[in-house]
Amino acid sequence: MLEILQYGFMQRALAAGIMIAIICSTIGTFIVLKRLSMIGDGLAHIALGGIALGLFFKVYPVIAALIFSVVSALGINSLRKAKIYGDVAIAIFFSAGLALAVVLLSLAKGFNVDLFSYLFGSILTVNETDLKMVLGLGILTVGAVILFYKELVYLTFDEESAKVSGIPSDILNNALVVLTAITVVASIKIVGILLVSSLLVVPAATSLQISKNFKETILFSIVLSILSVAVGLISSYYFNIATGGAIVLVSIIFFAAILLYKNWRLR
Amino acid sequence: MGEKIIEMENINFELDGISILEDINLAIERGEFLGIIGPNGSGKTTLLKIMLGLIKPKTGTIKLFGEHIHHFKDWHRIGYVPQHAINFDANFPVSVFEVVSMGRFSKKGLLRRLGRKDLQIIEEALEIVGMKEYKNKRMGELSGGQQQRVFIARALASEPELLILDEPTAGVDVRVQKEFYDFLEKLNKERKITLVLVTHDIGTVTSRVGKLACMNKRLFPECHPEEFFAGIPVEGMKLVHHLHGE
Repeated sequence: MLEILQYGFMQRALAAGIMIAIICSTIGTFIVLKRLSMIGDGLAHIALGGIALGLFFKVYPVIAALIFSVVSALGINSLRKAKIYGDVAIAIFFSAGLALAVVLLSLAKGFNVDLFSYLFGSILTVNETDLKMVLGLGILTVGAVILFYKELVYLTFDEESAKVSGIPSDILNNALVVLTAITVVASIKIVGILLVSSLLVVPAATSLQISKNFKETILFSIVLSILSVAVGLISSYYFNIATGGAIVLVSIIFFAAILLYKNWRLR
Repeated sequence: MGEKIIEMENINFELDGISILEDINLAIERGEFLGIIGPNGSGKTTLLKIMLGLIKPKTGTIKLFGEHIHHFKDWHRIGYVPQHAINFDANFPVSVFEVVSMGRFSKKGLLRRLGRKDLQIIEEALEIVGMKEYKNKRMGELSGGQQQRVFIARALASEPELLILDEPTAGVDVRVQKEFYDFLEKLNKERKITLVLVTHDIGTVTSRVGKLACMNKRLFPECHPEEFFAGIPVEGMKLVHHLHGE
């Protein structure tokens, strides 16, 4: 079975996939508990605007998407602070990004297959540049979470008390959405814009069913996420199916199985 | 005269043009145990939030430990126990130990991990509130009263000189309330912690705190709540009053 790991494209796919699994589930745990599950989907569609812009002006689309999503993430946060409901703030930026993408697409009379690969992901075509980008952004994200772990946990659990104890809540809230934006952009190549938010939300939601404390939640979520990527990737190779979809379906199966097990045990 | 720990002068606050707090003046000295009592919507929680810098008043000045609130940095000297019985998410995956350890964060500062001394203080705080054997339990598995004790342990873990409690006995039965006030009295007398407690519950608090102030948009120091609120038709308060009057 392991002969597939001899292929260079498969090694790159697995390395990139595991890194994405780690950052998505870590950031996802905070996002889900902050009731911001939809922000991943929102930022991914905003990133599409950035990608369209990049393709239109012929610059590396991922860089354009990154700048676009990070700025929008900060915009979403300032709208939230201005007492606009979180989901409305996300919806506004979501619409703006998607609208921009559609307009640019019509101007360019449709792009080539490139756009298609961003929409649905193409983990098997991850090249050296993509892999370096994913690993770089991944290390940055994991490092930031490790450095500010205790403050982020406090802020997620009880924002008001965290403020009273002198934790710089505005800075850290902004940092969290910026990290989310980075995570989303880094993941686009792996599962595609349409499925990015699943990787953020599903493993964390699964882990929440069985964890006793915060640390456990993040660790279980990472394990589930890596398993989903590995099983999804390998089965997509053998059954010749779309990898992004396979990864997400595997993670959904984990979710359903654990939910069923939990309900069965409680009875 | 003792050292003044909190000084609030001429505080006014309004929300969407409706006046919430009017001309509040309050000074709390070290070692005091002050109870502030008032019906729901009388501005008690708002007053605490202004005291803690969570919201800015329309007018007025606040000093904490003699320092203007804008310049105040020693937040670990203040322990805050928010009104948790209402807004605590029972599904949040956090253990008792993790919650109490949050109390150490303000003292450690950014980028510093908890050391052996911190762990010892966390254990001590758990011991004081009698929750040591629950330290690995998930918060959501505890009763309301137990959760409240964990939040107090968290506040104690920062080794505060001042403890501010918002409706600490909400949702807790009368017997546990009595124990709870015994416990606060001990903190006040033995550990010399200054206490400020806000509640809508006329019953027990009246006899247990050192000083009592009544609140209804304005603050009335050293009042008699039974007389003060006699004419005010507030369902919540009367109900509680009856329960304790038995």
